[in-house]
Amino acid sequence: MSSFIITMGVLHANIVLVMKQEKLKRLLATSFKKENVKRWLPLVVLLVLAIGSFIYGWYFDMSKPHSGIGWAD
Amino acid sequence: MHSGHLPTPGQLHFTISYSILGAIGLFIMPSDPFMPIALALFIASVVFCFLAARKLLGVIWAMVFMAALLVWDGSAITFNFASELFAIPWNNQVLFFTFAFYFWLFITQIKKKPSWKILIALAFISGYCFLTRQEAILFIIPTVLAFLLVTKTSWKKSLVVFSLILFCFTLQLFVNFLVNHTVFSSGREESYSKISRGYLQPSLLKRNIKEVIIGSSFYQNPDTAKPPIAADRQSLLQAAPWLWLAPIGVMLIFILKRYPLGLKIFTIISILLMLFYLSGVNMSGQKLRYHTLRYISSGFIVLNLGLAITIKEGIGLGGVATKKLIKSIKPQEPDKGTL
Repeated sequence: MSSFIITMGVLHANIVLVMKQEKLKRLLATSFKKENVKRWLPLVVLLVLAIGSFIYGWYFDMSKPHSGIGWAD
Repeated sequence: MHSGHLPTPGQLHFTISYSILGAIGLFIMPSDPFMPIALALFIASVVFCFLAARKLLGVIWAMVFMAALLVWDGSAITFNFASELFAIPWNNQVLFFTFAFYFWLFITQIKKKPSWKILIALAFISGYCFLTRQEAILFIIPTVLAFLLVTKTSWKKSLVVFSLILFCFTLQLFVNFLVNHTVFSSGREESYSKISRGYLQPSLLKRNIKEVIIGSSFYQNPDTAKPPIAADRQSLLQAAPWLWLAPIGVMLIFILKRYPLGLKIFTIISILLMLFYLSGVNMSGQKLRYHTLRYISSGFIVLNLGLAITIKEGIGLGGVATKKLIKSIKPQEPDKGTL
């Protein structure tokens, strides 16, 4: 079931990519303008830090209580 | 739920929405279904908080605020960092995400007429939060109502928003009916009225501010026949002493006119949320070991914002005072006319 959903998702993404090729090209060209990079770089840095600490906390932190729905109160 | 089975009456102790998220997560990562859900809620919360703080305080102070709020050492021990909440599958994550969304909404969308997109997002996020933690309705209704009133949304649109919020909860009522054969059962051993009696108690509020917020060493085992049980965990201000500065910033939000009305409303609701949980039986010094701080983690947004505002305004004030001092020390030019 999950592989079916992933396959359909990839297929859909491909169709969208082909259909919106020109728009994507324009978007990529404007995305890396200096002012855009300056505007969004702090958020990208923040997300990298946050996701890094999340992954560490989720998989490698042995001090936390065990995971599971029983803890979801 | 993933396999199409209804929960048992015992499992209905928890509302169904967090389990639904887990069922969705099973399609993405069968070995760890809550991981992609927690990560998605975390990323969305980071983005909403950052965008709101950037608009309010500028990039540098937004980064200070975010670091204080979310970037932690990866060890979910005390829960003084809101992100620790996302290292474990708690349904409190949905409440935190909802408050991150409200923060963004009250900072960036308050000065214009809300579009249908915003209103529908507001309704579904609020409705899903209500479906996840039923007591959240106490904060959701005033928040949504305040937003609709301040933005002068028409009554027709407002009616649609509130209908959608209630519609989200009909899913829980439907499952309640299928499992318990009544829509009014909470699924818990205790009734709604008995649960509500455990909240809004001034004596508990006083105790919890001492034990949970100021210092866990204030904890005393109420059962004197047994030796005292150590709280085992630090309180909020022991783990994050820099938050002692937060009340100054929170007061400045109300005093200074440059902080917008939306922020003042969001701050009031966050404070009420913290007071509600702190005046309830769910929190105590002893329960710090069970990460009881997670109940008020949505309020950490305002606390850490208060910290960032205190430092920002403090530095601003310091800068002005230094300039005045330099000006007063600087030797005056002699008046040529008198010579």
